[in-house]
Amino acid sequence: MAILKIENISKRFFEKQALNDVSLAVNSGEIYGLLGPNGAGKTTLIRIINQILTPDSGTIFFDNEPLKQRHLAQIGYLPEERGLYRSMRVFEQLLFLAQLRGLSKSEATVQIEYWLAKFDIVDWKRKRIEELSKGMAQKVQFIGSVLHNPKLLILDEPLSGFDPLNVELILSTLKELKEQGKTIILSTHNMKSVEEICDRAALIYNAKKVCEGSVLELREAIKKGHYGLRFKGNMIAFVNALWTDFELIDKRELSDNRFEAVVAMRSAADFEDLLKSMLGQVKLEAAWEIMPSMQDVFLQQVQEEDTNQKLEA
Amino acid sequence: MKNSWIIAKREIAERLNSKSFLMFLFIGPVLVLLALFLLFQAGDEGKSQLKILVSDEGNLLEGILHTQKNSPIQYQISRDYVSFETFRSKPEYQQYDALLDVNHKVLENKMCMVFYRDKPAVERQIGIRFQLEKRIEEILVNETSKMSISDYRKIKQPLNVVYRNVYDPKQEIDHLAGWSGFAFGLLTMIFIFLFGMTILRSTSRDKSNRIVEVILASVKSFHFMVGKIVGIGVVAFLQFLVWTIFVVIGLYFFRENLFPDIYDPANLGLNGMGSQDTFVAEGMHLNKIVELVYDRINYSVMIPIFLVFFTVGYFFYAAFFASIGASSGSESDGQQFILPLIGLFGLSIYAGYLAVQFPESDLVTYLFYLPFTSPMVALVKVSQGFAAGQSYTLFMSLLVLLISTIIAVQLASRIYKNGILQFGHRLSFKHFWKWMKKI
Repeated sequence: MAILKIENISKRFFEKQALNDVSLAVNSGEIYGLLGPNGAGKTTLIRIINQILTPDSGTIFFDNEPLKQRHLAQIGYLPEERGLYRSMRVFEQLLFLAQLRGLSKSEATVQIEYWLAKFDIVDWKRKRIEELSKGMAQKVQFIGSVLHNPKLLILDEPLSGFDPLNVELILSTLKELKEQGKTIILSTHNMKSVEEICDRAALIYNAKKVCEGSVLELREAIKKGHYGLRFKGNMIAFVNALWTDFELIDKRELSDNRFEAVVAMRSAADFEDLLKSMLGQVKLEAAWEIMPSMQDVFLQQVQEEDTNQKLEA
Repeated sequence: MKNSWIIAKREIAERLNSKSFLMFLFIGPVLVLLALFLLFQAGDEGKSQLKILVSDEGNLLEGILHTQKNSPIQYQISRDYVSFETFRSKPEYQQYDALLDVNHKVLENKMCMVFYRDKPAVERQIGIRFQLEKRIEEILVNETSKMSISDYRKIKQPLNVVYRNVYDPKQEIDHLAGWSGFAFGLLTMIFIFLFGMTILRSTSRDKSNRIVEVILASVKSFHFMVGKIVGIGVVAFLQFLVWTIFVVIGLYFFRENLFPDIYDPANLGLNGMGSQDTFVAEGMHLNKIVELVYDRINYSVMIPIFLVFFTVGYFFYAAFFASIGASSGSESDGQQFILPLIGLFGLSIYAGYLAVQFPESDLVTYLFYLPFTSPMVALVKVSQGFAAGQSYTLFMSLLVLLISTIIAVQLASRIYKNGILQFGHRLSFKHFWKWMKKI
């Protein structure tokens, strides 16, 4: 069931069309990737969901009700441009943000204690924001977006500015939140993290939604039937074994007589035929289907869209 | 509006936790009291206890220039001529504060010289002139006529041409009272400007550190703006309250300890001198500032009206400051847009001056209803008092200000909403216009 349904949203800033008839649906309990290059319209869409901006047309439904100001207490938001009051102490800052989201002081205190302990930063409670490093302040801001226990969490580039250890911490926290039944919208350029944790994704480009689907479906939609093989043996023998049914696309020597190769099917041959043809020719160590990455999905969709627009023009 | 109050509380806490604010909270009234002390002193400066050597070579004043016991002016007559050089240098004259040189032609040239070591207080100068003039007058009347001195004084009265406003023949509206309103109006405008600038800087800072986006995801931009204005307004009011308490205590201390006898005629050195009314009146007006502060301000009327106009006027101007702060592309941007506001503040203060000087003019009437100037002019008008049946004009002026404030806040909230998330641009009037039109 969709917790958030966006129907035909358009928004124009004077000369610039920021969103053009965008519709999408985010299912309850999933992690949804919102992808797109800079200036595509992602942040505008996120601001509209958070009621910071009003759309020129279109409707948003939250839990099957038209989105209203009161729903914001059930939405958590981490904007791309991080901002905290530099002179405030960590506890006061979090209390302020929690109260704005409708928590009482006692409820907020319990949540703040929980999250500070979870992120192992209880000692920072009395520190001023200006005393913290950028990464530390990012953690505080992340806590600020989740401590009111929102149903829907919208994170705009949540991993930027974090070191690898903290990236892992945030990703595992997101997975935990998903397990608790929370819905997460993740706007990011980090395609690896999209592949790792997102269930579904949409690509926004030039103010329009270009594609939407599960991460696996999106990747499979553009796969080219390429397979990877790692083997020990003679490269000539390997090429001979491919014969007319397969084509060598790429190869890489790992060490003496140890290679990794990429092959494509030429005829009706399949992966099983490929494995059979290798028998007795080389010592096969590993074989796999090469799936395009979300990066490939992203680039291909953008290129296709550009080509279409040129043709239309 | 609950969120507005949360925003307001944060603004209040931020300022109350700021060392510079707390310092200014207490240093401010000290500076005000120091300024008032200097103003009082300026009206009362100079030496107040005088011992005067009278060089009376014509022997005119012996036996008639009396010195009363405990009088602040003590005369010592010398029948020998004492030059000012001798007075200045000779050790036996060092006990005297001043030399009164009554030359032997004084009856003809009507001129005396006083050479002082430290300049006497203005009241003492008047006292010396008064006493000397009376004595010379007596000698002249005795020498030149058979008239008694009291008869002479009856006919001597100068012709007094009094100018009166036909609408205020009893001079109920006097300028001194007007100045008390001007002082309140000035205080209002100073506080509005200072805290208006605080709103502008605070909004720009929230923009530049990007906290606005987090807040706007929970709070409507209108509530955010109102919260900020209210929070800073509460701090302004608190500061005003603390300043008032300190200044009132300070003024009480001044009156009890430093300026206890500012209206006491005895201090003019005129005891037992007969007709003194003119001189006493002159002396009484010497220190108008003291009179203004202690006697002319009707605090029970002024303070409530001051608070109403201060509050509404603050919201009116705050809407403009908030708009500029929200529209600026960077923290330093928007400074040039303060200039028109400074111009309006200048106009407002000038309007207050006009209201004091020309309370009945048409221009002042317009300025009384113009929302930019009404907080200032209204306070002057209140201090001057209204003619019977005219006090409704005060409520009309307040109503116009109130309606203008509602409109200004509505327009400002549009600019605020559309401008607060715009970054990196160079602010121009075009932006204001665009954002004001956009709902």
